[in-house]
Amino acid sequence: MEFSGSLVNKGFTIAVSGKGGVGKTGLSALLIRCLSRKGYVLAIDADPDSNLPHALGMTVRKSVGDIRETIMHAPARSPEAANKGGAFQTALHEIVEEGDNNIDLLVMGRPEGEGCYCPVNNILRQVIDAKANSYDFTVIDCEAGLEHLSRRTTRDVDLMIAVSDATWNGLLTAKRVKDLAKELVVNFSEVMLIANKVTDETRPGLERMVQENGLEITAYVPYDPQIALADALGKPIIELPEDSPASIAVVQVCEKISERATR
Amino acid sequence: MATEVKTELKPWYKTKLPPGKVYQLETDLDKLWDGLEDVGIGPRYIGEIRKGYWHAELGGPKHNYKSFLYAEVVNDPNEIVDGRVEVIGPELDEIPPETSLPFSLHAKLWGPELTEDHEEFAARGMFMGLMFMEGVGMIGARDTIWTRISKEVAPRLSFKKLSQSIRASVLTSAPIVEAVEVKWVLGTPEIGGVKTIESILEETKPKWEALMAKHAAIADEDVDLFYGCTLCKMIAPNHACIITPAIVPYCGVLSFYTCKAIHAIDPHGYIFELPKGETIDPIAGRFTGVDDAIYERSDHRHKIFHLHSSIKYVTTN
Repeated sequence: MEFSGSLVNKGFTIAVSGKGGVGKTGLSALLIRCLSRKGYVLAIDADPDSNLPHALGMTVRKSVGDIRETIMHAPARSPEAANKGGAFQTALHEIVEEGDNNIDLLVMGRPEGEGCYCPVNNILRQVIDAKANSYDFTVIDCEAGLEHLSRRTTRDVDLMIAVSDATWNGLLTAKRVKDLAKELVVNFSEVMLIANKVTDETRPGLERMVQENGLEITAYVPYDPQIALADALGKPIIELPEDSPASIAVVQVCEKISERATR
Repeated sequence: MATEVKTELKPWYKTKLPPGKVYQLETDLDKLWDGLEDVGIGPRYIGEIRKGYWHAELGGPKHNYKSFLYAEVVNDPNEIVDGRVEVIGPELDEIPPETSLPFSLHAKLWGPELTEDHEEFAARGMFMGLMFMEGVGMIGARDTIWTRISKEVAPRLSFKKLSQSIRASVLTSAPIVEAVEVKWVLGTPEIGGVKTIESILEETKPKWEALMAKHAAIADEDVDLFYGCTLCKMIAPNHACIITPAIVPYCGVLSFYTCKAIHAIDPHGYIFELPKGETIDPIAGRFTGVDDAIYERSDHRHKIFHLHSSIKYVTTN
């Protein structure tokens, strides 16, 4: 597929965060599909409990955590040990899974066996720095919760999408994402709140909660039975029909993002 | 050194290989680049080639990094034929689209004053000749080489043309080299695939490992003269890298022996001699000569340098 020209703002980074179970990975997959029609997309799965590859219908052989292990265990004074940064950059080339339809995928993974997830989390920043400018969009599917914010691994992304479902708790987490960002002086150019899995019954209550808390929802993505079916059958979300309610709603989000990216 | 004879003067490998296509490049120095006009050459073409856009992929992880790229300095002029190119296996236009193959690309260099200490320096020409080519993406070096040739450039390119570019770049950027011979082996299944390439790799690897061992064998204590490099002053005016037997410059491209060789070629160039002076702290790596020289070259900003510390008195190496 050829584009007449790539987007003007290369390296537009988007992080997708929110409470566990609100639909971050599913939304990320649909968003990635949409954006891949406008430019080249790098998908990064930053959740150690990795789900994005399946959502995109791709398999990944090695993760960033794996190459980190290899470099950490390189014998002293070997080329890999002497120049860890360089070895890491080279190894990154190897693990980027090149997909069809202009989507490439990187999985952050986790350390082998027992151990803290800090080291792999911390190098997410280096990965973004190394790769984002080779793509038009980078979409980072974060793990649930707020840890990546306090760790500042998603600092300075261009757009932070905070996803909530139609619950008070989900909204609260989304609000916390926004507040924590201000508190930590993290430079997102923008925070977008998206409400997911919204039904006709739950929408009014949701809108009231939103208003009472001074929040602003950028988009409401409807509950989509086809997604529930796909999940139950273990099918990749990216194969969701284009005329499915969630697909249509995501297209609108995509247009907004594309407009921001080319501003 | 014969230039008319096309058969190779001395077999390069013990591994059994079928005969390849042999070309003789133009040896006239004024015609080095003739015939390459339809392909772009320059730093703007450095890049990577994405899936779906490449015609041929050579080397890389799919073949377990058993391919190699090597520029070797030979001492005997009778070992090589200047401008001779042999391609064992298919030429680029004979490779079906989107084929990935293990491969070896071996160049032998000779010059009356060329020594193995010049090998790293002369090899740069080989890299430039490849990386600068339009539609050629390259990552890694030696046995971590991974390269792709784009669909767009493939009709205009061939391994013969790439060899011409390599030879022209080497002779232009390192005039101390006077003869270049290039041999390609494409590891198709007919030739024996990865196994054959691995066999050639095992024969060739000891040569550069010996060189690396030589570089690793000397220590800061063994020499009185270090070197510095000012190549990056254009982007970092107060900076100069320090190269000793133990440390490399920021770019990682130069070694101690290479600096020695380059300084000999061009004493007034970007490599300068840095007398060590007194050793104040051998563990942190503090030497009076380094302190004085870099004090001068950093616009009098910094006075003390610990070459081996990344915490205190750090260098910008």
